[in-house]
Amino acid sequence: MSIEFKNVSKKLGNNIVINNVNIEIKKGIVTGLKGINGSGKTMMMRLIAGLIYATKGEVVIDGKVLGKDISFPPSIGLMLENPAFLPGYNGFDNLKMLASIKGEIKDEKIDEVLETVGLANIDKKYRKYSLGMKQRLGIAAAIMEEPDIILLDEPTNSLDASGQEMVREIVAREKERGATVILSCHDSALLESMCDEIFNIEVGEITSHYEPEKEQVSV
Amino acid sequence: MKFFKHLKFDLTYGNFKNSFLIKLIVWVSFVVFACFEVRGATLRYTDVSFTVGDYLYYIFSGVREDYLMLEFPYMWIVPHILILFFTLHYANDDLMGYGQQMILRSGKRNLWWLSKCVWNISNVTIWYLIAWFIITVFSLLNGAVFSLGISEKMRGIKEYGTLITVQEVPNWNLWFEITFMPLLTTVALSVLQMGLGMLINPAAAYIFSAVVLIASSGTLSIYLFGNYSMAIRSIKLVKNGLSISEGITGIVILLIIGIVTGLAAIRKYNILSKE
Repeated sequence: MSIEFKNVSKKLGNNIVINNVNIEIKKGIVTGLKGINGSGKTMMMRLIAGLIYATKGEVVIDGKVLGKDISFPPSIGLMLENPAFLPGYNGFDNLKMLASIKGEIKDEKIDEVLETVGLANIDKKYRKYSLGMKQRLGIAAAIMEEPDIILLDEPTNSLDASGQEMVREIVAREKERGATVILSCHDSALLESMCDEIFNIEVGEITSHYEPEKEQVSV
Repeated sequence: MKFFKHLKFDLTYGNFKNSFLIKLIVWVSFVVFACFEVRGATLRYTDVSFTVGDYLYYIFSGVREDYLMLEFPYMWIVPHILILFFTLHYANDDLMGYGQQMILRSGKRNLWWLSKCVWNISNVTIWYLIAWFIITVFSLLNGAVFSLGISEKMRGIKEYGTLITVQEVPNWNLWFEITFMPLLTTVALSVLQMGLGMLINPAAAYIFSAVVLIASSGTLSIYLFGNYSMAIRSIKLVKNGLSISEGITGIVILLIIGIVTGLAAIRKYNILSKE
């Protein structure tokens, strides 16, 4: 599923959070967004997800304009910072409720995904989860239905070394499956080890992009 | 089908999980307090049989127009204000949290909103059903007759105020006015409030609701929707009162405005997180 930003700007209140972005994210590769806190990475992801729409310009998913032709990409998994789940339910029930909307996967798949993220056989309610566990559940929700687009915002936050390795493996597996993966990360080295292409973002603008181990190209 | 998935979630989680216990304690406390107030007002009349309808009438029938000059009309306003507070944050909170994942999967913003409208109607109804149950049990335990009629004595206990002209022959068959009209009025106000909450923000919407209720308590007018819930201002009792059909029409219009406002707001709504 291809993603294009055509002269996209986004204003929230009086703040311009994304400013005249023109990029194409190629289908089936892993794309990274690199920038400091507040640079606009999460807003870019929200624009791709259809949670917010561009003030100017268009975000186009496979030829369809978000906010005009479609409300949301038809097949997307999303994990934003501080994922929100229902505090009184355990991880499995939280995922099952989400999965019931599309009805595409069965309980066995949910169990499998929980095992992948290291949350198998944990019967705690979400409110008792540690930050790392919450993060893992967020990743599970993003990948469980094998969507065409996967957005992972700071997926390694609160994760230890084994958790980071888990993220690396998941990203590689999803790429192999043919998904378009977009992720943001503070850790440049980790980002460069996972991504085929990285966009640098500063104050809502794309300043450069590069393929890791190749030369940086200014925009 | 996806709409019904949203709805299933909203009707179960939205009604019975979302801080339901705390709200239930507050609501039951108020209703029981109101019942004791009615009991206090009727205690001296030992030779009279009051009815379940009397209790409902005393609590829900409204206030005299000049009430604001005397004291704050808490008995009539508090149930509305409480329920409007109970329903205030659910939609916005859901959209900033778990609802984001749900709305992405359903693919349609409208479905999410319409489900919230149905949830709102169901939630308000639940609070009223609880109130009716408590009032019925309390009144029966205190010797009331199981009837929705208004006794002669109760007709004299609640006063009309100085600005209203009473009908020469009042019609005291008010079972619909003391039960469903308050429920339907709160439903309409709550959905309108939810729509305004999406368009502006919940706090502003709540202030709007409060202002409408206070203004309604002080003025008999078809344009102040709180009046629709006041049996004491029915045309059956007062010459310039409101009829059921006028009330229902107003309620339907408010509902439509609330639903359409929310639909318009959700189309381009910026779905962000609490942070």
